[in-house]
Amino acid sequence: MIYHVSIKTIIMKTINKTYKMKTKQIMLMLLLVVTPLISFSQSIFEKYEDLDDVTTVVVTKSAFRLMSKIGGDSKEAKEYINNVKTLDNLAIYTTSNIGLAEKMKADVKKHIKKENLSELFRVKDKKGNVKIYVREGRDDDHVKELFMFIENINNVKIKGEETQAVIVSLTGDIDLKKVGGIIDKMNVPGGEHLKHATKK
Amino acid sequence: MKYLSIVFIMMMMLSCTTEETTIQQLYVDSETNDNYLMLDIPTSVVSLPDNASDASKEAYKSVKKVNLLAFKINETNKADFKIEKTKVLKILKNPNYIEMMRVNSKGTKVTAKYIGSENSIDELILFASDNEHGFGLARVLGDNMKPENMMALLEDIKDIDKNSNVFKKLEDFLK
Repeated sequence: MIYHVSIKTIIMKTINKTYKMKTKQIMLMLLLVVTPLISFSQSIFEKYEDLDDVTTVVVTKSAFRLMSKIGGDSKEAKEYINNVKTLDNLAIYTTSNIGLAEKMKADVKKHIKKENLSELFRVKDKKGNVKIYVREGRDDDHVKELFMFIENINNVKIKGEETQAVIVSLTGDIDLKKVGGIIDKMNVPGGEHLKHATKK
Repeated sequence: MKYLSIVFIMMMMLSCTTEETTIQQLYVDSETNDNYLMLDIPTSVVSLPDNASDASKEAYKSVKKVNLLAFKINETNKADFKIEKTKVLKILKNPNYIEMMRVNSKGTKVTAKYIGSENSIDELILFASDNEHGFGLARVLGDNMKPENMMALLEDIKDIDKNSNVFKKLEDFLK
């Protein structure tokens, strides 16, 4: 009987020990499992990446962090590095399909509502309708998201096909006064309008 | 509860190991699958000029090789292509691969990822796929590859040994 009890206590002790030890590991593992899920579920535009009629480019935070490593040592480069470091995500979606352009427009409306974006300004000219929105950041100069939607585009061709709609979303801690320089370097479609957002 | 947690950990371990075997499995598969091309490109195909900077010399040493795995589509292997592509995509979903960029244009998809930290990269991965032509997985394998040095290296590389065997193999495969 005593023998039996002692074995039982030993087993219980080991289980308790492993349990305590593993709790931390479980938490860590849970974190590891859940974190990518969170970062993957952020945008309603992601579904467009699977469509052949939409051209998409997504640049992630880790790419911006890497870019900041290779900037160089000059004063200009250092400023560029500081600005790039704080960026989270750049996503560009363009389509030459009229039906998809309509769908995008509906999703843009949803996105604006969901993320509480406010309109910064709009331009309407022969080339198309451009609207630029921002999500409020820590002060007047800093926004959490810079968002642009271009529709009713006339005669703008990308790879020989007439573009119908363009969505550009840049997130992070964005300094509106400085983001122009980065946009310049990245060759973003409609970048000249986005740059305009920086001239406050 | 205690048992549950242990079971959970076991499952986690299991899922990790299966993931590990899949990438190995892919290479084993590729050896027996005629649709595949597997190439190791040694760093010796490029040579550094004598006046190369220290940064690029260091970077050159940190790169071990470039490993290329490619699958070319023909009339008969489309079903196989889908299976193999799904395998690769599943492997690349591993959270160890940190995504840098993804591009999708006219059915061609390109993804760039890396393993390591932003100061020290151990593996750089480029995956491109297209439902008409096939896919290619290029891995730059190394040890402590520093991004700033890698840029210096790219600037310094001028000589590529175009007569090297690996390029001939690649050319034959793409024909």
